Amino acid sequence: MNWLRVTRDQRFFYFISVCGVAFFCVVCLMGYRIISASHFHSSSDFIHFFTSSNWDPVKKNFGALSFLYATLTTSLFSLLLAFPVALGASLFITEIAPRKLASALSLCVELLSTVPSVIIGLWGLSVVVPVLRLTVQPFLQDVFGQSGFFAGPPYGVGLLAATLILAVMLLPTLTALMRELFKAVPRASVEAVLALGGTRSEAIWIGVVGASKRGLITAAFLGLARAIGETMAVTLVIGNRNDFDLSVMALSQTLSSLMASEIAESVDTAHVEALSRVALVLFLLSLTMRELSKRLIKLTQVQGFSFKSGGHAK
Amino acid sequence: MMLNTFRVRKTKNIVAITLMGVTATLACIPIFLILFKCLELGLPAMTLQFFTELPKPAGESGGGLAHSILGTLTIVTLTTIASVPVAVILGLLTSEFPKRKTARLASLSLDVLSAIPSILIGVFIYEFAVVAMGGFSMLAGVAALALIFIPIMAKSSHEIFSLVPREIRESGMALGLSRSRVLVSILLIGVRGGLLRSALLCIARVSGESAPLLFTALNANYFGTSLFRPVSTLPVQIYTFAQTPFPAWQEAAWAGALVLIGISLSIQVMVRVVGSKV
Amino acid sequence: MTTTPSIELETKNLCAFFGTFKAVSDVSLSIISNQVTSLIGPSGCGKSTFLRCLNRMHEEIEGASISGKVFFKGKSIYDMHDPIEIRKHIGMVFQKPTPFPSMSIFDNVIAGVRLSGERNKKVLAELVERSLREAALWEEVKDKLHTLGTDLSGGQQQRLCIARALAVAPPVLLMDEPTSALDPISTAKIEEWLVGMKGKLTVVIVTHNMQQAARVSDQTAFFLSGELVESGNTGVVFTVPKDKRTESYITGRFG
Repeated sequence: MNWLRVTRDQRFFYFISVCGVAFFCVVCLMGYRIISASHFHSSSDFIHFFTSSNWDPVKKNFGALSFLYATLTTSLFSLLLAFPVALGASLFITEIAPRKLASALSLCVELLSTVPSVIIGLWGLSVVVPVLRLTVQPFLQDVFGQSGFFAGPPYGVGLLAATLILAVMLLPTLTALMRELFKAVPRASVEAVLALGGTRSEAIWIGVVGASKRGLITAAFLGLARAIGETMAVTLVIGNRNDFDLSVMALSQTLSSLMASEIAESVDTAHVEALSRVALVLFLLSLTMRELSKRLIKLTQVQGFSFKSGGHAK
Repeated sequence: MMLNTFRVRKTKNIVAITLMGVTATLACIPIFLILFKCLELGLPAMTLQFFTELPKPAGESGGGLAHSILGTLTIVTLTTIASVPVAVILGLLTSEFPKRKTARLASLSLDVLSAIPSILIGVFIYEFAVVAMGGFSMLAGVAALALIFIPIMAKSSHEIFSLVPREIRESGMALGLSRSRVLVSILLIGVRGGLLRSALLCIARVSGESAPLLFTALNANYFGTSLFRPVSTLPVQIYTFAQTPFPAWQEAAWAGALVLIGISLSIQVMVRVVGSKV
Repeated sequence: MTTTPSIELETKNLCAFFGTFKAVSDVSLSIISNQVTSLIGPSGCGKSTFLRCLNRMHEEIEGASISGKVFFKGKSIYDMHDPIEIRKHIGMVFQKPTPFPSMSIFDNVIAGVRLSGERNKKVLAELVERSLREAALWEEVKDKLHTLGTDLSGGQQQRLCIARALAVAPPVLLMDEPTSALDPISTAKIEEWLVGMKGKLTVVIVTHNMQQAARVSDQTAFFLSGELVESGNTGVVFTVPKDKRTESYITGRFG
C-alpha cells in the first residue's frame, strides 16, 4: 500500500473502520465467553436445568425452573396490567387532550422513565410493599381463601410486588411506543368514522386503534422484552428465595434477580457455569422478543414509526 | 328503538372518554409519588454530613455517602470521556458509509448491544475482565457503563447526522475540501448541539445504572481512588442500604436517591433548554 | 479592442452514467472564458448531471461514472488523481441555499479558505468583506457578521453561498438552478449580480427558466434527453434556432 497515493479520505475511512471492527470484535469476544462458559456437560444436565426447581449451589444442584416461572409470570402479568393503562393514557394524550395538557401529561409519564431502576425499587420496597402486606394481600386472602394462588403468609414482597413494580416501569415505555404509533395514523381515518356519524370514542377505536393493531402487538413484545430484563427494581421487592411456589404471595427469584444476588458470591466454577447458563437463557429470551417485534414491524410498514424509545431494561 | 341505541352509544362514548382520562391520570401518578417520597425522606437526611462523610458502621447514626457521590462522579466522567469519541466515530461510520462492510458490522454490534439487558452487560464484563484481572475494579465498571453509553449515543448520532441534508456535504466538497474534512469540520461542528444533548442524556442514564456495576466495580467503604480497586457508586450503595434494617443507612439511601433524581431531572431540564439555544 | 474569446472549459464526447443508465450522451461543448453560459432544457434532460461532471461532483454518487474527456485550461481533469484540487478552480452553487449549520456568516464565507489552511486573521477578514461585496451582500450583513448564517432569508442565504464559493477565488463558477427556490425579488438580485459578473468570471448556469437564460447569459446550450441539441450565442439560439427541437422548446410547445 503506497501511502503517498492513499488520499486523506481513504486514511480517514480506514481509521473509523478500524474502530468499527474493533468494537465488533469486543462484542463477539464477550458473546463467545458467555457461550463457552455456559457449556452444558451432558443432555441430562440440560434437561435438569429446565425442569428442576431445585437450585442449591452447595449441593451443586442447578435447576432453574422456578426462576423461569417467576420471570415469565411477572413479565406477562405486568404487561397485562400496564398495557390497558398505557393504551388508554396514550389515546387520551394523542386524541383527546388539548395540546398543552397533552404535553404536560406526556412529560409526567416520560419523566418516570428517567428515574433509575434502583430508586423505583427503593420506593417499591418502602411504599408498595407495606401496602401489600398490610392491606392488599390480607384482602385478597379474605376474598379468595388462603390456598392455591393465594397461599402463604402475607410478606408484602414477592411475585405480586414484583409484578406491580414492573407494571409501573412498563408504563412509560409502552406509552411512548403507542404515542408514536398513534401519531402516525392519518387524520382521515378518524374523520371518516366521524363523518359517518360515529361518536368520538368510536372514531378513535375504529380509526386509530384499528389501524394500529400490528404496531400494538409489536409494542407488547418490546414491553415484554423490557420486563424480562429488568433487574434492580425486581430484585429489591421479590423476596429472593430460590424455591418454587405457585402463589402470588410467595417470595421468589427471577432469572435476573438471581444473577444480581448470587454472582458476586459465586465461588466455584460449577456455580459460575450455572449462572452463565442463566445469563444465556435471559439473553436469548430478550433477544427473541426483540427479534419477533422487529419481524412484526417489517410486516406492518407503518410510515414514520421508529422505535427510538425502544426501552432498554435496567 | 333508534333513539335508544343512540343514547346507549352516547353513554358508551362518555364512559370510554372518562376511562381514557382515568388511565392517563393513573399513568401520571407514579412519578409524583416517587418524587414526593424521595423529598419527604431524603431532604431531611441531606445534611452537610451526608455530603462529606463516609457511612458509619451498622446501627450507628450519622455518617454520609461522600464516597458514593465521588465514586459516581468519577466513574461517570471516565465513562463519558471513553465513550463519546467512540460513539461519534461509530455513528459517523454507520451513517456516512452505510453500504460498506465495516459499517454493517458496527451497526450489527450496536444493535445487539442495545438489546441486551444491562445486568448481562455486567455479566459479560465480569466473565471477561474481572476473572481475567483477578478482582473487581473501577475500570471494569467503566467498561460496563461504556457498553451501555456507546450504543445509545452512536444510534442517536447516526440519526442526527442523517438529518443533515446531503446538499450541505456537497457544498463543502464543492469548495475543494475532502469528504473527511467536510465531515469533521463542517458536519460535526454543525450538529454539535444535538451531539451535546445526546451525550447529556446518556450521562443521566448511566449515572443511575446499578446492575452493570454490581459485579464489575462492586462497592466499597472507602473513597475510591484507584482504577484497579472497587469503587462505591450511588446506585449500588442505595441498593445495598435499601436492603438493610438500619435507620441511618436507610436515610442515607433516600438522600442518595434524591441526589440521583436531582441529577437526572436537572439534565432533562438542561437538554430542553440547550435544545432551543444551540 | 476585440480579443478572440478563449475557451476555459471544454468537454469532448462526455457521457455520464448512473450505474448502467446513461444520463448524458456524447456531449462536446466549449465554455468561453468570462462569459455566462446557460444550460437549458426540460426536467430530466441531463443538464444538472452534465454540470456536475465539470467539477467532478458526479462521481461522488455511488455507482456513478463517466466516459469521455473534460478539459480545463487545456488539461484533462479526469486524469488527475484527486478531484479535490479541481474543485478549488471550479466552484459550485446549488439549488437549495446551504449555509453551514451552527456557523456564523463570517465563518461560512471563509469556510473553504480556512479549512484549506489559511489562518491569518487579517487576510480572512479582508476576504470576507471582499467576497460579500462581490456577492452584493455586504451592505446587508456587515453589522452582523457573527450571527448565524441560517438566520438570513432565503435569498440572502443563497448570496452567502455565492460569497462562500467566490472566496476560494475560482475562475469558473457552476450554478445549478440557483434561483428556483427563491422569491422573485431575490431572484432579480442574483440575476443582477450575474449580469455584473460578465467579463470577470466564467459562469455556467443551469436554469429551467428560459426568460432568465435570455436575460443573463451570453451563450446558451440546449439539452434534450441527455444530448446536446444546439449551442451558441444566446441571442441567436433564442431568435433563429437551427434545430426544430430547440424551436419547439423555446416557443413553449413542451418543457
